Amino acid sequence: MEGQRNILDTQYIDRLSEMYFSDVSSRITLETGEILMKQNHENKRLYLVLEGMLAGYRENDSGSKQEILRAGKGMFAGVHSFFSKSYSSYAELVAREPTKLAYIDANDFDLEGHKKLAQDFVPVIVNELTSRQLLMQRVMTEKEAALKNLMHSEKMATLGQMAAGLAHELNNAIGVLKGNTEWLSDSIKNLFQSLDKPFSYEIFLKAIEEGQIISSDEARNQRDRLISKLGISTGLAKKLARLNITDDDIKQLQKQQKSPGELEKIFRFWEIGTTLHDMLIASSHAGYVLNSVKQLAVTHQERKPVNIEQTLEESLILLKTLIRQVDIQKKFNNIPTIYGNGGELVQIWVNIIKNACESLLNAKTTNPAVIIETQKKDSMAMINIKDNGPGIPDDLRKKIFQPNVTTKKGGLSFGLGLGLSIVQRLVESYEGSIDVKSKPGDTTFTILLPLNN
Amino acid sequence: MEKITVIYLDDQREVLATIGKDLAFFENLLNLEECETVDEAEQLMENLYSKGHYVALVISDHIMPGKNGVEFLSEINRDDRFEKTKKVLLTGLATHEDTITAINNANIQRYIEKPWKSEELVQLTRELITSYILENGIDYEPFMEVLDQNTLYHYLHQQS
Repeated sequence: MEGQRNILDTQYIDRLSEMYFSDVSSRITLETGEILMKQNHENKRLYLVLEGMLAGYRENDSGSKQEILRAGKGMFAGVHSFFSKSYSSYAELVAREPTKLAYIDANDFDLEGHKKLAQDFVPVIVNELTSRQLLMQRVMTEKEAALKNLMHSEKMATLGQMAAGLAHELNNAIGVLKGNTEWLSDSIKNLFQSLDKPFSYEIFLKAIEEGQIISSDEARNQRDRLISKLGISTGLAKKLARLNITDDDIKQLQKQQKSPGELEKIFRFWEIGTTLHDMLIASSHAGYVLNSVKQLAVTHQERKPVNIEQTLEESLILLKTLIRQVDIQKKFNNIPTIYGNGGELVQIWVNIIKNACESLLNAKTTNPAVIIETQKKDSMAMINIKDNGPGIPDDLRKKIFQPNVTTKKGGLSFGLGLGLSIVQRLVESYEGSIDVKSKPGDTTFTILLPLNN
Repeated sequence: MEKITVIYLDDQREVLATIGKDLAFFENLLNLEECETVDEAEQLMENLYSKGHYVALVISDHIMPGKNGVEFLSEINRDDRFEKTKKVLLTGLATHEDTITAINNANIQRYIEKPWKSEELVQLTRELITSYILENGIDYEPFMEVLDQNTLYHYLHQQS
């Protein structure tokens, strides 16, 4: 808490000082921590601070003591007890540093004198009231902010606990599904191989490998071609149209004069293959989602001195395919190591760089670029990750670090909406900070992490 | 026999394939069409309409790039040509607001949450197809195999 603001005119203070506080015999000097007066004790003096600083504490009904005022040079103390004529101290006054005071005593003034005093000191009294009110307001604002912070971290902690519980519960289930799907794929592969149906087996292998790659629209076009070339029913053509069969394949089928029953069987082989493919994709996707959720409940990983720039390089390797279409510019300044965990740092960078690249590619930005800059700033490492994409809309930017906020829709690359909330948790665990500024053509994430010392 | 189509729409291939397997029960009597985008579905519906085919049922995912499922179904609802088409929203993620819009503006018949049960989807399709056929005065005899007996019984009972 800063000292109270004195909004009184210095000339006015000087005049009062000269009129009332010029008597050098009415002076007191206090050492740091020395108590000038106690709460509810008699006080008939009005003090002017000549040097140093006083702090006022008041004990409330529940017995806890709170700071309610400060008086620095040119400010007054004892205003309440002196002018309210209660002559009882409202607060305990303590010197925060070596302090020099001048005072006047109520006993030294007659009735006329008190009248004049009251007149002369009206601005002081009003100022006192106002500044106490301002102090109160500031304290409340600070308290509110602290409470908000507390609630936020409590919320994140609860979320983390829930995530851990959920991950634990799902871990085994997904593990069983994933393992068994893989086992089933291999077993069926072996079984089909032994059937000695090379064409169907080829189709099956391709299906398990790539799934259905024909779009529903393409399949509708292919349908009519198959009807005319193979002379089969619409129903069967509809099925076979989903297979990625080449013109050569069609010729082969024509030559072999496969019956509808046999063609239906080929489709079955393919359907089993794509089904296994989809199951494999889905189970590994579930595993991936689970891993992301687990990160929310991240416990402290082992930390040691680590080179930030190296972790940035590692992240770029992980994102190899995604960044192929983006111009990545590195502006590294050989910053000192920080005390941390490489894996955690990679996770931070991957999330941010991945978001940047995806927004560039989704918006089809011309000359998409991401600039990664590192520099030492006082005792912190500063990492800026900037892209020239469309930017983040204001309403979204405000809640971008909250869990469950995503801009991605559809497909297997869908977002869980956890990425940036994980990033924030990690950065906070380093006692660092993360901030984002965004306008079209320039979105910059700035991360500050304390350097190793 | 009249041509009756069921369209199902989802931007994820794997989901589409799964719905297809569930609906395979109907493949001999109904024309099943899968679509990956709203545009594709809209075009297909135009096409079917111009050939004089019936679009009896549209099952749509909600969260998709571009137009979402509720918006798409609302548009169908406003289109006179597909006034009687039955609409189902199939989704794992719809907000309270989306759901309200779906009921008020899209006039959807049912809302199915992912993951769904195969029998549930089949039974629902049976019921809605039966209603559609009866409401449009289509000869229902050829479709007996896929009709919901309960819905049919109630309808015939009301008629007599």
